[in-house]
Amino acid sequence: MTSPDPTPRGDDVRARLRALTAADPLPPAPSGAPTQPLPTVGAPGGAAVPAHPAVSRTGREDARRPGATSALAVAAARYADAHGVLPGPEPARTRVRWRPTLASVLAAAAALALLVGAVVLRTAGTRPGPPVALPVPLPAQTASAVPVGAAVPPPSAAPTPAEVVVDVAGAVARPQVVRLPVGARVVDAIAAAGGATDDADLARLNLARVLLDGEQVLVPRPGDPVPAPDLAPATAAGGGSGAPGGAGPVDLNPADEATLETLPGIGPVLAGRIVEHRATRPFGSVDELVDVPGIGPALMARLRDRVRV
Amino acid sequence: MTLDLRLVPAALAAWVAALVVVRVSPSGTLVACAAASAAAAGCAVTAARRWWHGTRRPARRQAVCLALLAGVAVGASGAAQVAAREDGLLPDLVARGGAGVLVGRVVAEPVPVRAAWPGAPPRVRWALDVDRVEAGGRTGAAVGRVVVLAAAGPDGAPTGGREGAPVGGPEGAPVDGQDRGPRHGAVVRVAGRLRATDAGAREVAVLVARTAAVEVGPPRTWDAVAGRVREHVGGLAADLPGDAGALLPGVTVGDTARVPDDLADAMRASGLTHLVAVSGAHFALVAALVLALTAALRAPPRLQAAATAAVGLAMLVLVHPEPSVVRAAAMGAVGALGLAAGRPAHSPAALATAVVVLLVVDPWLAGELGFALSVAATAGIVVVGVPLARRWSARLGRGAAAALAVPVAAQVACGPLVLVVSGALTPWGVPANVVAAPAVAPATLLGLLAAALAPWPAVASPVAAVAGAACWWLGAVARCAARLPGAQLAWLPGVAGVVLLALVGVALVRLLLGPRPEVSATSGTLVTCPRPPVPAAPPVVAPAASAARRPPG
Repeated sequence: MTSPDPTPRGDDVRARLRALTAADPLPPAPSGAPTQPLPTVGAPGGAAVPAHPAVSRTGREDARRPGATSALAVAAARYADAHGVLPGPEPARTRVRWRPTLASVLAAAAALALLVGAVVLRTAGTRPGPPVALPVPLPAQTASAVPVGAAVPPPSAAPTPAEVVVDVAGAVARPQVVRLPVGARVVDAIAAAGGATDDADLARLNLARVLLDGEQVLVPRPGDPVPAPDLAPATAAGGGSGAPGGAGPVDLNPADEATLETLPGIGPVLAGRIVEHRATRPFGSVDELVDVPGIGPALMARLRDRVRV
Repeated sequence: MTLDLRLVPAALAAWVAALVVVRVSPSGTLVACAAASAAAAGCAVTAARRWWHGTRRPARRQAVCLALLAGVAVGASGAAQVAAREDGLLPDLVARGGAGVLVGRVVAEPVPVRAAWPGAPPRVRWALDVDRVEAGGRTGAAVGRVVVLAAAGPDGAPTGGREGAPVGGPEGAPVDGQDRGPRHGAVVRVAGRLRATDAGAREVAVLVARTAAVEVGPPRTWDAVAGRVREHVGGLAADLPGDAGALLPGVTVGDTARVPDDLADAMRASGLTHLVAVSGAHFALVAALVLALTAALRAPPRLQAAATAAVGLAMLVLVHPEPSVVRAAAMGAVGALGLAAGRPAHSPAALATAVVVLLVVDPWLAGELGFALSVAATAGIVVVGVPLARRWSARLGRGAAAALAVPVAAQVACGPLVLVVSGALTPWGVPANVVAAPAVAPATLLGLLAAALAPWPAVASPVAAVAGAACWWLGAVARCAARLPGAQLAWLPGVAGVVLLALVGVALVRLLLGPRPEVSATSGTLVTCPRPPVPAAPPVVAPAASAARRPPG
């Protein structure tokens, strides 16, 4: 490194480059040594030698001052490592760094561990637990009528919505029209009519059925033929009103097979499958009816308005 | 130039791990993770021993160790997420294809489903992040995303055609965007039958809705604000005719519901689809505008960065932070950093870091074509596009060089992936993108400005009209380019074709970035100027000796 250059600036540059090549330290500060002195370095002949290796294409000056040029190359490479690009119009040469140092691997591992920990914790917080059983809705409760009527009493309601009027006839002590609160059962209607007579055949009645407004409860005697219009309400548990073919929706969970068969498109086979299905999985919504084998979207569309849960 | 590819093996390993982890059972993943951790630990111990003995040079062993660690990280987080999805009532229900009621938050805008056959009843699809599921008399919490297929129309009932506006419109365009489905961000309850999705899909199931969704909770505040802005954009777009109105919501907020099928096909054939999906370019554009504005106001750099980040976040909320948008934002940030800072050395490292972080958080991204396209385009731009722009800027000027280099690099990088889906080349992609480029920024930025000004229609309409003109230009470019001869070139099908196209791309890049031919000063003939040699290690040679060895003459 004994290039004959008297100017103090050249000495300064060379001193810095020597420090760069000798000490093998971290790259210098970006605004410091490399950028300012790099463009030109005074050469012995007075000609300005381009210091940038990419610009010095001839190679002759390089050969003459190999120490300085290689130091410049090293400095340029360090600058490129630190800042990505070399000053100057054209990149010298694409260097590829593949191999990380141990320190960077450890730093990356720590960062990854933190990230994974955060993700796993967040996921664990939202992990779904075991399912719980939904409360099965009470069958055949005209639920909306009671609270609405209680909360806002209608000023001029002739038939109070909180009661039903049924005609109790047949084998009872006092056949008559009785008024009962909403939600009352057939057994309540018979009791209100003085109770069944001794010869009544109560086994043919569903005593637990909820009464519908305006229906007739006919208590049969053993030999009586059961009249057709009364068969439907008598057997349709919580089902239709007076008419067969039922204007009211059928409740899927308590209804028996005969009631289910009154639905359009449901025969004995499908009714049996529905009963079988709900024995393991009670219906939570009408839409679950499609889970029953044999009930497709088309049948479902016909049934939707006629069933409920 | 230095390319920092130290994190690239890690990113590739993370990608492979993510592809696997969403398709296998969590227990299997954990076993594999344990094995890989042991291997990584072995590598680390060996490296540490060498370090202790004074060999501190970077080594291949450490690259392997880092790649293994990235794979393990993706595996562990992915296994936890897959396990959470496979827990509870929902997977049970999906497995037997049962019906149930789902309650959850709407996370994707309803988009019309392309009719399966002419005259098919219109349907929309949207997505639900399920919170709770009810079926068979039981209820339970649930995790996962479910695609909902529902009949289009206000009630979710099939509509044969609304009064005054036949469904489909004259060009197959869907009718007005209102009441297509539930609001984004709202908590809804919807019943229907669940179908399983393919293995490895982000969505747990597809719900074929039987009833309309019932809103049981309002959207969060920011979702509501974003929804209002999007409505404003839709309202402004409805006043614009033809393609202008169809494209304005797309280039502004990524809402493609109005884009008719034929225009969508044209944009695909001309390689312009990325303009109407929310891509990294949206975020890069807005970030560049904010940076320029704050720099013009002489704000301190920290304030500039904070303002850019804040606007980026607002943009993220506006276009809904869906996974595709989040990765677009990440890639846009990486690309903007690479282009603006002019430091290509750090760009591959930033890109690889972004890939690893995104895959750890969301391993389902790995299987999505959009993610692959995003990463490929960004990698192409930062690795190939930046040097190309530098190379060409001497002759073309900086702006023009960048405008040309970015689409070239992106097309070269994305070509093989596009070939996988479409099976055809789009040779007009680069010219179409270059021709369309001047209109992209006005369309996006003025569209957003118009949306912000929407409460004052007198101001907003002219701004929207200018943005609409830019959108019309985009649409016209797409339709023209799609009609040019050779717009869809057939190419060798299958894996061989993809590999061949990738090789062609590499060769093209090599040609474009290779040594520059120069006219020799002495002979006047065209010669190739070789790269100047850079000595690997500084040879210690005395000046006298060097002078002695100098060749004579």
